[in-house]
Amino acid sequence: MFLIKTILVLVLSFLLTLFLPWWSVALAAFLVGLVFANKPGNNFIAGALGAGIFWFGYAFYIDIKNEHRFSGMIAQLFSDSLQTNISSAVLLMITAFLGIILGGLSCMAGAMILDNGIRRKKAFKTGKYTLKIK
Amino acid sequence: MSLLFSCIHLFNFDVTSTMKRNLFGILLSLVLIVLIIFLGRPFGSTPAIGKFFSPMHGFWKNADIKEFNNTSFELDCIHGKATVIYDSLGIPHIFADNEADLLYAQGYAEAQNRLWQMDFITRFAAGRMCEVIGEKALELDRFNRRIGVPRAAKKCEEAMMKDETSKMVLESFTAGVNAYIDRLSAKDLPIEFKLMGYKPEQWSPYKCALLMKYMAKDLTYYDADIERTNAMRMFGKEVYDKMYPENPSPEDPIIPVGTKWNFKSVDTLPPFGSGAGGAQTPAQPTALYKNPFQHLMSPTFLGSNNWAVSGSKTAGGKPILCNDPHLQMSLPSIWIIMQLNCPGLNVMGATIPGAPGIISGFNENIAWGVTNAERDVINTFSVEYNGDKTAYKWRDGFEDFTYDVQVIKIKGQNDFIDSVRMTKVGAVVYDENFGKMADQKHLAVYWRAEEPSNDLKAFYGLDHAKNHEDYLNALQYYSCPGQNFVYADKDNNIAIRQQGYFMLRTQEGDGSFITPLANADLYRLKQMIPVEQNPYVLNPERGFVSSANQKPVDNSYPYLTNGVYENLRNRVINNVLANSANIKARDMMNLQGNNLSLLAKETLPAMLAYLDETLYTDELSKKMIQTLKSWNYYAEANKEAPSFFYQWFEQVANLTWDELDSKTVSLIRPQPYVLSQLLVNDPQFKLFDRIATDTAETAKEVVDLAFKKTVEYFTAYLEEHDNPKWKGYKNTTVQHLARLDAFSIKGINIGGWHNIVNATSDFWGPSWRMVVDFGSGKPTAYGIYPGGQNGNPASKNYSNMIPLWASNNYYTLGFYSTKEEAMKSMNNTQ
Repeated sequence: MFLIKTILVLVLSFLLTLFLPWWSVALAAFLVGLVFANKPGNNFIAGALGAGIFWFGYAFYIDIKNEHRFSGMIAQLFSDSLQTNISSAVLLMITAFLGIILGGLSCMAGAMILDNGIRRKKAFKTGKYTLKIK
Repeated sequence: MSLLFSCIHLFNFDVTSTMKRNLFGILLSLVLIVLIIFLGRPFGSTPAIGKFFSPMHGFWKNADIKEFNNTSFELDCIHGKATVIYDSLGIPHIFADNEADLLYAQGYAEAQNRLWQMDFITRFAAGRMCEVIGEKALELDRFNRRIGVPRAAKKCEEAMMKDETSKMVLESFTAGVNAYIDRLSAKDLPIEFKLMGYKPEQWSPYKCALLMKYMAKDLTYYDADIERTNAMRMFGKEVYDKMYPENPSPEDPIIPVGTKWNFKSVDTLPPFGSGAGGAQTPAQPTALYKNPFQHLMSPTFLGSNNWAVSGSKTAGGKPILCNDPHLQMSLPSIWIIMQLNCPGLNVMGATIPGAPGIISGFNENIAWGVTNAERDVINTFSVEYNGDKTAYKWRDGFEDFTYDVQVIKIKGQNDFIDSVRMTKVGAVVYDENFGKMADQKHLAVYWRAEEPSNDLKAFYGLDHAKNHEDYLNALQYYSCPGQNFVYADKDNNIAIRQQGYFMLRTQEGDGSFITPLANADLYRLKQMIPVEQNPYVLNPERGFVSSANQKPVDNSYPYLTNGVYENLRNRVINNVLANSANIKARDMMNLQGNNLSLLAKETLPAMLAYLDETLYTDELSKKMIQTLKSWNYYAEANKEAPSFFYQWFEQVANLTWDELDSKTVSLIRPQPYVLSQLLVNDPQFKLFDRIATDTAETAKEVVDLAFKKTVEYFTAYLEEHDNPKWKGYKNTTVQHLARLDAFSIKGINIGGWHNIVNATSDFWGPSWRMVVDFGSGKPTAYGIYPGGQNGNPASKNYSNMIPLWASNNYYTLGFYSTKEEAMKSMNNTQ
């Protein structure tokens, strides 16, 4: 189930990105979260992974194809204006991080909004789940 | 982050609190929306982070390019289809059935390669930089508007649109650019738009006019009326004439000395002071002026070379024509190479993105090239007000001002409104609101480029010209900035004409100085030298024509031709051409890359002679003297001598012109050749004396002290650098148009300097090099420029020509008669 969610986030964000603005990755993860509504934590990881892989993978693919030429320039641009040393790899990491945060949180938010508690009730009955009350 | 932890904690909190959890989901969604809005917004000069990093929308998308090299496509145009064939260099060869479609496709292809540059430069010209980069551009925007770049463009547009052909050209070209813009989605915008967070505007004929007036400003606004007025007042006529000589010597004008003028001067007006037409003797103003905007003017070392040699001097027995315009080099490049082909037209060469047609190039019959005329086309007048400053003194009475109200939009701020007083001659550019000038120092400016003109028609005519008559016919439409148009054709004619609409000047008070507005002679100001009387020569006896921004004519020419002239490159070029025979294209390329410093050749022996060598015993000094003594005066990239010489010469200039370093009065340094000749021929020249000392210095003391400072300079320099080689010292850089270092190329391995034929300095240089050889009966053309065809920094074609350009090499330009021929050639190189 986890793998399906991850792949769905990945594929849907790709499809939506073709037509919608940059935040479509969040929308895709959110929609997948709505459908698989019962495991927020699990959803966070699936969304983060799906969107993260998509953003990182696509950027990485472009970067290889372009022989790191342009990412080097953009890295220098950031280095110059922030007076630090930023490399192409840092840009890829930022890209991946943004994908992870947007995908993860969105997928989790979707899950929580439509969570009806069924899974946890089941788990509670079968003893797989223990109740902790502060 | 703490939010994240608290919600993970929540998972185990309470099984039954589904509602709470749903509420939390809604809360999280809201937080997400805020986050997305936050990441989607630019902050100051930082682009919107989310959008900028999204691999399918932001900068990664710009790196995801399909290069144009060896591709072709068909484009639906106005009447039919055009075919655009990109060759192995990314040069578009455009084929169409009619001119409208051809120009439509040209607009499309220019936008495909250079859209941001086109948008940026025309915004710059219109005084609209504040809209995209904020308040820091306010002074610049106000300057461009006050001097009248947009006003001039408006009049130029009107004049062009009155002409049927020009209208067709502009409208077709505009439609092509807009077709590209309309098809461009936000994620495919050039990177600079994404960085600065704005979008391209629709193109228009007005924008073409803005581009032309941008060039006019660039190529005429080295004007120094303020500075020269001050110099005349401070130093007197005798010293002034030595600093800014009207007749540079040795004399080597564009039109060979002794050429006869077969016309009579049209200047039959009575001279100033006779009272006719109300004109009075131009009284000298008594004030000294400060120009607060000197940094926004063009520098005086602007330049270019062009020449043509006749068949009598070439190996092929037919002319060879060469052109290399020197401008501030930029990325994306100033120029783009194109071929335009339709029935009745087949032309190739370089054009400026945003301009239809070809500006420096060749067709099947002729070739032409341009250099700047450097004539003075700006007059500055001092304004005298009535009591409440609503009117200005004119003749014996007062005239009311009109007002040009400029609304400047500023990113993130309220509009700035600049109300500019307008007089009969032009705007009051410098006043209490701009430059904080005292009332009696306000200045109105007349700029020739503000007169309505259809300069486009000249280039249209040149593109189509079949022979020498067509060339002359085309040029009559060309008004400003004055250019030296060199010409060669397959029928063995060569010619050069200095063309522009130049003000008729024969008297003192000729426009070099500030004169009272009240006495301005409007009739005289607007009257121009008839174009057929402009400096011109066809097939001169010496077998070549050339120009390198020197004075156009000798003193037999019946009009004043004041300007800011060069007198070094011209002599090197003419010397080489006069002494050459059996010339091949490669020889002409070598001349374009010629690094001989005539300045050093003429000055260095004298400088070394003034130097008391026994005073310099340290290693560095001895090495410097030795290096300079054994130098052959060629400023080549790997030599150390040019670094020593030019630093030393600069120090001499600093010490000599110390009188010009005033903080309260604007002055301008004379040309290097002037200082050179003063050093050699006039060592007692008054200004060699330093104001800081009580003793009276001459050239000798100045040269000596300058050498000490040069040694100090290089002692410090060598602590930070491995060696003083010329290439590292001068650091030739091709800068990105928005001054982004990351998109600029630095430390280019090339020799040359200002006043050298290869005029490559730190930021300036041969922005386009072309050699056209008619030896085979058809034009064989070689071209290159310091950049690349594609303006996208991620493209392989962004700066790919630079190494070959720096090594003085060229590409052979494919010039095809038919679409099929071009297609075949493309397939062969694939």
